[in-house]
Amino acid sequence: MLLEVKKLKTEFFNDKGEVSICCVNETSFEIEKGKTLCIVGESGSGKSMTSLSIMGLVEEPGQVTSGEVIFDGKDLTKFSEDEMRDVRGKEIAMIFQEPMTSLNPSYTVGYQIDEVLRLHKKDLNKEQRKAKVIELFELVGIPLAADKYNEYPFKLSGGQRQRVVIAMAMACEPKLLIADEPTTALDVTIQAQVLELMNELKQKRGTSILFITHDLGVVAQMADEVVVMYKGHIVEKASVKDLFDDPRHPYTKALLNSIPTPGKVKRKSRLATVDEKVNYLDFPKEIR
Amino acid sequence: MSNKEVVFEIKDLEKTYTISRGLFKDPQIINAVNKINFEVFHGETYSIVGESGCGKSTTAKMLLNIEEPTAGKIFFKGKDISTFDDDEWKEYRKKVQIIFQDPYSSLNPRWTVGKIIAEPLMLNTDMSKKEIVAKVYEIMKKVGLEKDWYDRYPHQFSGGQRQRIGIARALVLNPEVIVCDEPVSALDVSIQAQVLNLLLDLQEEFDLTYVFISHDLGVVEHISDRIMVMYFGDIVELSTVDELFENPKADYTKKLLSAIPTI
Repeated sequence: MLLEVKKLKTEFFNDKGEVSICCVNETSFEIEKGKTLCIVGESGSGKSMTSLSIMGLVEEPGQVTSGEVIFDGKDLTKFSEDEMRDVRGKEIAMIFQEPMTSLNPSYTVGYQIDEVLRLHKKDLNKEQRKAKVIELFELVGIPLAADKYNEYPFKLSGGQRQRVVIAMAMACEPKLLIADEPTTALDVTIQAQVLELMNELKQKRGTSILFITHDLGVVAQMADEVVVMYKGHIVEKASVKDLFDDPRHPYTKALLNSIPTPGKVKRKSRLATVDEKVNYLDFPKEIR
Repeated sequence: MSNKEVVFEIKDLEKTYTISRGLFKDPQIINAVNKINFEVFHGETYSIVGESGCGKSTTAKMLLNIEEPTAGKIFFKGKDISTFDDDEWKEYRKKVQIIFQDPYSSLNPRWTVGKIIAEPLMLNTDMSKKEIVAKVYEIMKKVGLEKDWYDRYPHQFSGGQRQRIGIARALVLNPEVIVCDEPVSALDVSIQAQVLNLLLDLQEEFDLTYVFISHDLGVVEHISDRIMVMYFGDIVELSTVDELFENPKADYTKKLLSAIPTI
């Protein structure tokens, strides 16, 4: 088991030091080596906070208050800030949603990937690092890799930028890749390419992926295991096949029924919706 | 469909943008929309799909006269809109409305919901204040906003509710056509379903014509009557929803359909 999250709890505090929101409420899940776990949920369900909690990136006034994040046998919640800095980028890397805002507009893309290697691979010299960056560009399918080294982010298309971000994340061959809605800002055909690339990397390098998304279509294509989050709780956990063939939790069912799927739902019929008056936490959790 | 009233007739519509490349180089000319022709019938949902940069939003903007076409003509109910006089423009702006993509940035954060919805009435009609307020309440009820929310500000609402405010604002002048520019793409799936349901209900109730712009083929399949696929400023395919999904002809449409992650 590469990552074991045990009863992780992340809370936000108000001025008086009282708990105002509990974003992640005792969630537990595991990711095996070389597997993909998808976290699905709507905005505000706590899926992004879960990933930030794992990375130790929860900012004030938020705090991980209890639980364990066992990564490769070590509990990350016990790590100091310096120790975490070694883990981030090297052992666990992250891809964010918007490729334009996660790249620095005033540096070339080559320089920005080089930076990761400078920090984490201190034994490489300048030439070796450059060769490695170009190799990474080729790995993620950026055409004319050597020329692109000196390009600035604004010159690249959305799909290429996201490839750069993935190259940056893969630079140190992390054991775990956390992808937070990596394709939401992209067109469908570009999305298909990026998803394929991530699956390819998973197979080639044996990287485990924690994939966060609200798109159940993407989940079906990427996941081995799926976790459905609702209001900070995991309401259902199952293998991807079980989840789509036999969704058990009412919230999962409601979510699946609300998507207009060609061939499944009658055209122009009213779609099923998630009932806002129902508190889906009242139903028993379906952990498989 | 042929006996239906034609709302829009678009003929050889073209839009080019000129980008200056400095003093000594010739400017670069970009064909955003490339001599396209199509018709929109009364009461139908006419969808325009394509990826970013294909010209779908530019086409919509030209329909709304936000962008002026470089060449070509747009006929609204048989009349060329470029020949409109002031009164006709006024009438046109009432009849053709838009719903924007991003419910977070399309509403004025300093205005109350009531004022946001009332503004089109204040500008375009000579209704009294009392009548306007009554009308706003009526529309708010129609789109599922509660009466006591009249004095609230946009930031106090969720994404789905904000999109309802945008819809209310578009609906308040009793339009015939609503151009929906990616109205659900910024919303969660469950909220998306609610807004789509609302759009379908309103279309039935008010006999609306939708020009629906989207990149989500699942949504388009559900809501449309006819679909136009655009690619780099050209129409690559134009057919009914059945035909497009069962028997796509253009290679690009096939590629687009195969790229959707399916469950």
